[in-house]
Amino acid sequence: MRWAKVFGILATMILLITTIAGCVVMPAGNSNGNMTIKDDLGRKVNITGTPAKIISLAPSVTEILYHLGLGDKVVAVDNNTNYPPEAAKKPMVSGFKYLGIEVIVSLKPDLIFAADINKNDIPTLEQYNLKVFVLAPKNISGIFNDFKLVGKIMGIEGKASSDVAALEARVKAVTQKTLAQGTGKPRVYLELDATMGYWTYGPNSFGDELITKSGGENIAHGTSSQYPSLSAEFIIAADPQMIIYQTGPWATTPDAIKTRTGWGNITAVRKNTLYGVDGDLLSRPGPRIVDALEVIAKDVHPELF
Amino acid sequence: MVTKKAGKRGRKAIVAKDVERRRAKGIYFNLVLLASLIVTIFLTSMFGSVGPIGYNTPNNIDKMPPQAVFDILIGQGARWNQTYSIIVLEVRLPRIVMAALVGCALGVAGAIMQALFRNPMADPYVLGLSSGAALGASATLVVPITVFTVVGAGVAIQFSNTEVLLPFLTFAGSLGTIFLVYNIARTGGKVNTDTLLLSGIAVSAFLGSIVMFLLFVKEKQFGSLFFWMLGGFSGINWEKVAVIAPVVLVCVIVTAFYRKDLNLLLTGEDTAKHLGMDVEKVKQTLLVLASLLTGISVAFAGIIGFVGLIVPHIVRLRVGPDHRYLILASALAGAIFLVWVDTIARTILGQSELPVGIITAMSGGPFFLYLLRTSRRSGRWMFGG
Amino acid sequence: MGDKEASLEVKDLSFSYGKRRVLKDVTFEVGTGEFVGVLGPNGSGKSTLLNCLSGLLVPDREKVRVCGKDVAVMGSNEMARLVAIVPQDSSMNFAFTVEDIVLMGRYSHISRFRFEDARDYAVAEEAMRATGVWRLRGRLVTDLSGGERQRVIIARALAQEPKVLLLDEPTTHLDIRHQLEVLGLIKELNDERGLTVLSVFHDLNLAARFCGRLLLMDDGAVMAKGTPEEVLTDMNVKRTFQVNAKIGKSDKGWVIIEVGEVATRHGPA
Repeated sequence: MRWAKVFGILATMILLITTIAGCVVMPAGNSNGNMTIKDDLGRKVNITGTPAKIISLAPSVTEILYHLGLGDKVVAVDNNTNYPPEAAKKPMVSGFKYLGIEVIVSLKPDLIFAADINKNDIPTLEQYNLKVFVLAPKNISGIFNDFKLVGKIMGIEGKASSDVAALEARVKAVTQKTLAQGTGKPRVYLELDATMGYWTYGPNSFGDELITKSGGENIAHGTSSQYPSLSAEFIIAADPQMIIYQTGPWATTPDAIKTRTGWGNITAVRKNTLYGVDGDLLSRPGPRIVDALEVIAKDVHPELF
Repeated sequence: MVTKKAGKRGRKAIVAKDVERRRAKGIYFNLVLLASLIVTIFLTSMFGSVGPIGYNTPNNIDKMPPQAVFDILIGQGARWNQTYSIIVLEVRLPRIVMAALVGCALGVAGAIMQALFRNPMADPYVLGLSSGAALGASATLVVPITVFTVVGAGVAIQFSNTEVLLPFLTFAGSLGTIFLVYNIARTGGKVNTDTLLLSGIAVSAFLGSIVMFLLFVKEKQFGSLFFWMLGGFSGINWEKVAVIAPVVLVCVIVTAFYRKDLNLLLTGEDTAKHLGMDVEKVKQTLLVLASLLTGISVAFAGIIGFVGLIVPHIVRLRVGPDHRYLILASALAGAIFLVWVDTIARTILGQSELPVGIITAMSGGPFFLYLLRTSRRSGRWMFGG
Repeated sequence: MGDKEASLEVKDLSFSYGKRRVLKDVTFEVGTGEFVGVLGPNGSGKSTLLNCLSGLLVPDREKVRVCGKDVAVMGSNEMARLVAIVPQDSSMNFAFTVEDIVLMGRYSHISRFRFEDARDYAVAEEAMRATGVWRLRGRLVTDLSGGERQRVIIARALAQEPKVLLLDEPTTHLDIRHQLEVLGLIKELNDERGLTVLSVFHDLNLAARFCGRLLLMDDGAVMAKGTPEEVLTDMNVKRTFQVNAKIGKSDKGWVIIEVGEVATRHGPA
């Protein structure tokens, strides 16, 4: 009898506490002038008014925001942001396995723009009643769509549209030539990283899309993972006609590629069609992906440009 | 007293039939292992994306038929597509040979450690060598990739610094660690094996924490160091094989000369000393041998666990604890085991590779449990008690 | 007892473990072909003494000589060819055959680079036959009884072809029959081969029965040395072991000690 009573009281207490907590955590009631908009992860985000102070948690997001001219609204960025240069001067509040939650909260941002890599930090941010909008495009048109979403949120839909139009025009300028009838489709190997195994871009990745739009054939297109690591054997057998590697202080060099065992007979190595591209252009799903496209297209089809 | 007459009787007459049978069993077993190794090398050369055994072949090339592999291996590959030859001789074979050498080295190093510490749980990394190696490897990642050319004797060799610097620093890290551990444990010219073990654990933990710290600070390199630590044989060429082969072969041969010492050590250090062994010197030598074998393996293949632990035990089930057969058997069995493991690692995911260390752990663990159960049931744990 | 060919000489041997002095100026000699027993209560330093003789502990220079050579400067290898020790307990939990174990005794005679030759096998066979384990040669030591294992260890010691045999309480863990068998065997080896034997005993009667001379130790020092009659007096026994004993003689001629009550401080004289 006694134990049942204790249990009953405990249960009621727990119930009370959780209900109260739930009430507190629930989002505040919506007032006028707001919108509910779905982000790239399918989350419905409520935005009241036009955000004045925004934070970017990924370099690709920073580039999108700055491209749209929203630089002065950005109060903080992540520590990998390096473009444009003025963005790198902003306070850096997040990074790999690091989230400066106190700084973020103290900045009182109206909206935080994040990317797919920040997924795991969202619950923490929401715990502090911070609004997070995720931009996680899967392809180039997804990036343009994100432009429009940001434009809608920030009340600059016109600018967004014209920016997108300009970018799309540049893309078309390339694909018109590269995807035209009769242009060859050379085999391309686009290297992501080679420190431990040969990592590349598989199907449904940006790299794959860039190669396709550049009028090439990604040797890893038929593989089963988005970022596979290929065996030397596979690459040698696939015999790419050009190899595009990423430049940077930690990246490989054409000489290093030539010394790889068994690679000497690959067409790209024999013809020395080894091209470097700035890794930042490739790895950030933002406006500069179009720059990447232009660079790669020139590598794949020098005769067309 | 033993007279000259007895000596002239000759070995065959004296040695009992059943002891001779056991000796023959040991020699026979090793011959079987050797033959299996050769067969293994031929068979595993058939595995790969380009066939004959493998999938996810790129679509611009036909799958290699088994005959092509066989021809290429025996030097008659001229009539086949040149790419096939390159793949078999430049990509697959050096890798297979490297896996065999590393398996050999780790198997023998494991046997040495188990005898040295009289402990069935001892493996080549028991003195913290893996942490030291990882530290050396992480130091390499601080340096960006450059290629340099060495010109000597009219020949210019090109290699990238990761190719040279990584193995070198890793090797230096391993040996430095052993040196540190040994000297910490040493009191007045002698080293107690229990103290050595504890010293190894302490140093390993400390160095390991430094590695973790470096990994945390240098986030970008996290992935590659992590993959290196898991162990693997990607990017092996004949130059690397040429560096590791003499070290492994010499060390294994020298270890074979120490077979009697290893047997004696099993009976206890005091007994060994009474029977005439310079125990400290022998321990030092064995430690050096095991460290060289393990160090050179880790330098080129990362940290591959379980081979050094499991292979000697498996082999012991057949040949017993006698190091006259155990050394060679561990070497050969280790080689066969690791070649097959690497073959699985490079073909199971099609065009990608699984780190070898993962597979050895996956196969080693259950295998060990199985050993434990069968030996307990049969009542004969070849090792102790 | 003149020649030094197979002798032990201990002169003013002191040994300390850190601050604790375990042996105090021990002096005695064992001549070629003698069978000497060492007796004493626990903690009297018997094992330490044996370890100093066998090379496990390194004594000061010039204190211990075996076959005329200073133990402190001899290498293990050389020692092993002169002195063999049969320890109290030998862990043999590895699946070696009897023959393997006995052949290990040849370690000090074989260079690292060669295999055992016909002579090594002959010596081993002889040792096994002498100790009666030849028929067990193919068996695994883990399958043997305590007594059999003890004899294998003795065989291994013999395989070293030593001049001196040291034994540390060789009859612990053995039943009466095996005690007598083992000691009888050692006496035989001592008589027939001229093997010098020094053995630590805990059993006074066995020591008296088999040894030609005895060394009585107490608290790290030599209390008495001489024949069993000379050493095993009731005074000595009482003072060293704190027990009252009646000393007699068997019809076979050896000294028998009948142990009585524990002696109290103010007990009967």
